Amino acid sequence: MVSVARKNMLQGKGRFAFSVAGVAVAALLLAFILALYRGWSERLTSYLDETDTDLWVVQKGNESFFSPSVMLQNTLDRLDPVPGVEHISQLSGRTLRLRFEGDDYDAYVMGFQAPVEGSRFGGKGGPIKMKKGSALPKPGEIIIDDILARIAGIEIGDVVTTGETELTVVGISAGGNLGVSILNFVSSYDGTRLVNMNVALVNYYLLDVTPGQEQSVIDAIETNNAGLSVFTKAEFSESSKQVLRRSLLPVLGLVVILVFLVGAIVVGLTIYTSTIEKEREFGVMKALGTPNRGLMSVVLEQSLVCCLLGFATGTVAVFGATWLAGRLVPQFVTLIRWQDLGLVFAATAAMSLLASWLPIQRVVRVDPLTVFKA
Amino acid sequence: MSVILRLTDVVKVYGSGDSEVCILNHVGMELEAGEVVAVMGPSGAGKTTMLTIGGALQRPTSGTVEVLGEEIQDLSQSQLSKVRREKIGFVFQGFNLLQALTCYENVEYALGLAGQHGKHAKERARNILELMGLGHRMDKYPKQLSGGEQQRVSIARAIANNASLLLADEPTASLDERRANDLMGLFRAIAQDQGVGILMVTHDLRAHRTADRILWLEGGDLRKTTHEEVAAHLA
Repeated sequence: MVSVARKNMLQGKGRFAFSVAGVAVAALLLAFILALYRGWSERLTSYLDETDTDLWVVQKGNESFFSPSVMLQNTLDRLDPVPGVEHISQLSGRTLRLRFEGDDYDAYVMGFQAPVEGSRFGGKGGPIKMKKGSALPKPGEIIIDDILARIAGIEIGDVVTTGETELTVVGISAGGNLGVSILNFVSSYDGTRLVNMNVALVNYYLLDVTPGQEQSVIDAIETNNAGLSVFTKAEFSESSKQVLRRSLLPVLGLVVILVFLVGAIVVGLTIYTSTIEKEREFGVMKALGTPNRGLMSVVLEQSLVCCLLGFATGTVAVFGATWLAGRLVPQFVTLIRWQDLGLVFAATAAMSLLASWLPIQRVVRVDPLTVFKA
Repeated sequence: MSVILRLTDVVKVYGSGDSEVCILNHVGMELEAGEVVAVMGPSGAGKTTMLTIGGALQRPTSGTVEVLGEEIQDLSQSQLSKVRREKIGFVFQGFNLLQALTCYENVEYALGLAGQHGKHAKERARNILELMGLGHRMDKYPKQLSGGEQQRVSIARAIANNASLLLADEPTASLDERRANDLMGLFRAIAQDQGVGILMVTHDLRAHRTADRILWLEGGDLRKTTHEEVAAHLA
């Protein structure tokens, strides 16, 4: 049987295209927001996930990598004798302003200890991956992340300044783009000097422990040191993600709801307008004996086809948009997952059902007697 | 001859209280297979109301309506839809073709409603349109056709489902003299060849001459009249 819905859509190509475009924009925005959220979620804790350590020790009350944890350097004396602790490294890091060729860049600078052969101390928390140059900065040197290097045009051998201190770039690292910040690395000496202003402070302790003794080490440290919290790597990563979720999700959720409603309204209005224009024809169809479900299926089919085409267009567009965003803004982090595209599809399907509701109410109430009026 | 449509003691009242109007007052009539009956009367007399009650589009206030022997006045909306799909064809004054569909698709749509699909239905749609002299216009859209052609498509659509009852509302109102005469000839042929009972509401003198019988509806009462009486009345 001929599809009246399809023929109606073909007859009103302009309106149909507008409707598809409305859904496509909504699908694009939904997929883009999800890609942005997934990208941030993944990148945010990539440094924590990929740093080779068992436990993170932080100042009590700081459950995130992005909140300022401050401990005295002599904390080491209390961690060292704990049974099960095999290796300890200390990190000093916070966001600093780096200046290069007259431009300022806010960047996270992490001071880490160089490894010492046979020592129980240092060597952890450095760059995740090196692209080129040295992985072990000496005092007065810095490793710049590839993303920052690209944004600022920094090369090995260039000199960046922070405050009055000059740092020579000796390496370019990768994987330090955390979405909200870009990680760069200096020596432990410069970490204490620049990050903690020469005060004997440490921001994080990284512990390697005897396999199977993680919990006993955590209990021992937390019981005897009221000011410290200890997390496993996975816990600290998840806890840091939670901070993002708590701050970002309500905003993203609101934007998603608004985009969904705008999409539904665009499709709903175009289909509703088309339904009003075709009201007499729906009356004719009813007079000819078309049951209400037949009339509803015409509206639903129009709406579903709009949403399917809009979803397909929006999905193709989101791949292009994320690629373009990454090219134009290197620190822009996105991740498109098939599961998220499934969510977007479900949202567009829901959009089409919502958009059909009012037009369906209208067509089922059409009085077939109206077609007898000239 | 078998009775296609029978109205018995049909009353139709619109409104209530002071605004109550009795449009049909204990009306009765029969339409037999192969018969063409014209219903005439002044504007607002209730001719279209009678047509739509006979066409299972609205229920009478009281009385019985039989289509092919089945009483329909108490059927549900979905049952009435089924009666319309399978037993009744409509021809409207304004043609009322679906504008997004071609001639062929308009007929195919009606066939689909009657449960006829596939190759057989396609063949029947083509045959009916050829019978109507529209074999060369099948792929045209309604707006590409003349008024006469559109009316022939609407008749093709009306008889596509093998309807036994054809109800026509002012079928010649939008047509010129020649096309109106052609249409009436077509009605006569359909009634005779296919045994279809045709009930048409009309003001058109040309149309009533084709009818086997003429009924006059006025003041809620339906009575038999003659061609001469109608001509005198309309003169």
